[in-house]
Amino acid sequence: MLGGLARVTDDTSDRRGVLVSDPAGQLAKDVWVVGSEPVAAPRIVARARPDDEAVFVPAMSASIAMVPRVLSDLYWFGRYAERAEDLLRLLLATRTVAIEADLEVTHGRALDVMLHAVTHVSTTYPGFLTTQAEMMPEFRSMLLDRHRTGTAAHSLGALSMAAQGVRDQLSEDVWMVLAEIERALATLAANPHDQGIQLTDISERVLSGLLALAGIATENMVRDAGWYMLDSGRGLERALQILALLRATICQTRSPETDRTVLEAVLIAAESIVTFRRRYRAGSGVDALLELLLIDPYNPRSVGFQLQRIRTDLRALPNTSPTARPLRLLDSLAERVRTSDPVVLAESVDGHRSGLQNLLLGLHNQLRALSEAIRDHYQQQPPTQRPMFRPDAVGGTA
Amino acid sequence: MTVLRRYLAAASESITAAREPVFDEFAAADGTARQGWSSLLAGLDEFADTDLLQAQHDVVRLLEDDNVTYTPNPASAMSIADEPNGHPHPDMPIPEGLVEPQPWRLDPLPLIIDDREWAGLEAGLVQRAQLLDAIMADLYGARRLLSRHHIPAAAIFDHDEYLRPLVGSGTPTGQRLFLVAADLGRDSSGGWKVISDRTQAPSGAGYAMQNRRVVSRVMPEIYHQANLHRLTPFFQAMRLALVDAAPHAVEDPRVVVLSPGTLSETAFDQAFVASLLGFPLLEGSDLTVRDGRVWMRVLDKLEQVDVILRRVDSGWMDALELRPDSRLGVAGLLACVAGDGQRVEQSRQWRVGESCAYAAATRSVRANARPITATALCRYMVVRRPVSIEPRLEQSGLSGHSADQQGSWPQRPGGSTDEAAARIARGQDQGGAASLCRAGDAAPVVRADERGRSAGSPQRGAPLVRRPQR
Repeated sequence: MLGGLARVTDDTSDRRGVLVSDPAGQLAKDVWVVGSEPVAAPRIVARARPDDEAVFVPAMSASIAMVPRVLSDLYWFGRYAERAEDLLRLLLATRTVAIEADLEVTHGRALDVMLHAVTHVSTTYPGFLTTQAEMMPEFRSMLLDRHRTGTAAHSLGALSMAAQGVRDQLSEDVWMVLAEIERALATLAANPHDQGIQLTDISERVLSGLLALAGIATENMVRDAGWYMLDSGRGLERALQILALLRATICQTRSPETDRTVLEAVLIAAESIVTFRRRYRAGSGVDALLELLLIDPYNPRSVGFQLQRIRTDLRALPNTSPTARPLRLLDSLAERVRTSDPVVLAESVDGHRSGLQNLLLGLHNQLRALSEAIRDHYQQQPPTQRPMFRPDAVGGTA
Repeated sequence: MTVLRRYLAAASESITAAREPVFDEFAAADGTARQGWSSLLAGLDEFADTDLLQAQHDVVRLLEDDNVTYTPNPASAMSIADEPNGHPHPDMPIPEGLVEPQPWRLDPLPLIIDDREWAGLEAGLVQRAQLLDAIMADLYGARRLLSRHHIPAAAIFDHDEYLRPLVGSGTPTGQRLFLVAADLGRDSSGGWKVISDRTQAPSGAGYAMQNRRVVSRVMPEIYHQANLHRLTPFFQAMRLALVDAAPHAVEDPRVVVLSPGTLSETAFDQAFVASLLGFPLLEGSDLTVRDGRVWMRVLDKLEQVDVILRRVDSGWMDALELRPDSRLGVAGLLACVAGDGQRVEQSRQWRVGESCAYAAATRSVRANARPITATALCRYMVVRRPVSIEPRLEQSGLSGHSADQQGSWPQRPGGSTDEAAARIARGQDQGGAASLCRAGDAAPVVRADERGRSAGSPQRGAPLVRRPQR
């Protein structure tokens, strides 16, 4: 290499001497080898192979290098991106409710419902289920606490980790977007006295980054096995998130005012409020919401749509017979969603929509089973290598 | 008067006044800039005066945009002083859990070397690589170096990275080293010294390329003005050499990059090199051995792998033959290699390592790639703070760091470098050689992650990957 990697340090007090110093304190330098004349690019010639005539090998015929680990990383890339996006939408919707809550008492109860939903959907227990949880610190933790499972920060960290494992598969734009998200979060972290204004602002910035990520996936990535895996992960996660949100919010009836606020917040969090207003007459209730978010096969935010999407993705993957287990599970799921009647589901007895609750729970479990089936079918990792002797030489985690 | 001019004047004075010989990377003793720098002096002068601070911000942003990271390994912070016997220092904390990747730090100002000077250096490095290759061939072949007592036999046979399964399995070309790197420093007279040789699985080429990309973006005018030797030919050559390493019967050889995982020290480097070369980045669990060949687990079948560019240290690459606690490698890999007359070997004590690439197929296999051009052999240099320009630049406020060591210029590396190099050259001081390896290991750009951890550390041998859970 005509050049290299230079490292310098600015720490002159290093007791280790001049040769070695702490890598953290070091600074890299580019090494330029310059000439007095313009430099001609060297010609690099491959050793001739026998019968090598530089034949064009069509890439379409070559099998795609997709090992199960890469597929798994891309699948989780899709899932974590969607999980982070949905949680941010829910946080922003809840924040909107909270701003209104100071004015009216009914909103206060709606706020409680939404706060509990945040905890249930993100599974960051105990979260708002304890009485002393305060909204702003908890939201802040949702955005910044990487080590707490279920937070947006946790999902973003896992997203970045999954991306790192498949760096050779991804567009370089991905890193630009992820860096922008990191910068936004760092801005928030640097301001511990924020009263919520910056938090909202940052959430929106992170959300727009995640939307950019979705755009990159749609516009920049070749439709190969990896992309279909990523897209199915995204669809599956979105379906799970919608189900969790519905379970946490509309399975109980409350006062009409509270229900109305909750309904709107759910629609905002599920990014379907505009369609809802346009399509249904004023005063439409849970039945309309269920049709739009659960059954509608044309709303890209509905469960029904995700099931179709996952189906298309899986059919496009090699090694998928029409009777493969993931497809069979998908068929029964889609059938169950298609045949449900929103009017019946919206009926409540003693303030409970037990029929709806059972359906949502059932769908949730079936989706989990589907995710496992996808993992088993496409991402089967080999069993962990372990030695047959010297077990004592192996660390505690082996 | 500009910053650089002031620096040159001050440097000239101090070099003249110094009692011991002093080498300054930038300023010659007569107060002029050295060859290489001089043609760019006007541009650099202006840049340093006006745009440097902005450039530093841009560098940070561009590196963030590409998520360029380095995961510090506490073992790599050890030095000669810590490790007289080649064992980890007892006080050196081994952290529980995982170390967070750190952002890569880069200075916008390059280190400039004249290509005439470089030509001499390059010739030396090529020769050195050939010598290392010959030593390797001998240690795993006729072992004349041992029988004639040029090297004490114990030094080789007691070394836990001397891979006995590979002894005697010769290769048709006889060439074993694919990629060699050397860590270089300067002595006080300005002569280059090799501090350590990197033959195991050298890293840094990806970082070098990334540095070049960033620097060319923050100072485009100077970049275009310079008659600069580019880095891309290196990667072209490397790509061709890897393809060339495959058995000739294979029409469209499958080349893969074997990485220890995303949490390894130089994960960025591995992934970036893989994407520059256009070869898939795999981990040990993605490969398997069947019927004496290496296969890649593709979606619904196994696909034969012809060449592996290895970034897992050799001791960890096969749990069956080598470290049984390793989960980074592929069980049975070594048998494939040995059975086919492939070589995967090294002797770290002598800094004689092994090739990064070896063909992993059966049949008439040509083991390692022959470097195509000289540039492909002399890889890259790591100059570890041999450069006296840095502290001085600070002094003049150039680099933007605090200048709290005003007037106290650091010791020149001359003494210790000379001594170290001499010991390598004599090859007589075993302890010295071992600790020198360590010294080299302290270069973060060079080591794979796992070597040197103490036994029983929970991370040891675990795959350096964190799988998403839930």
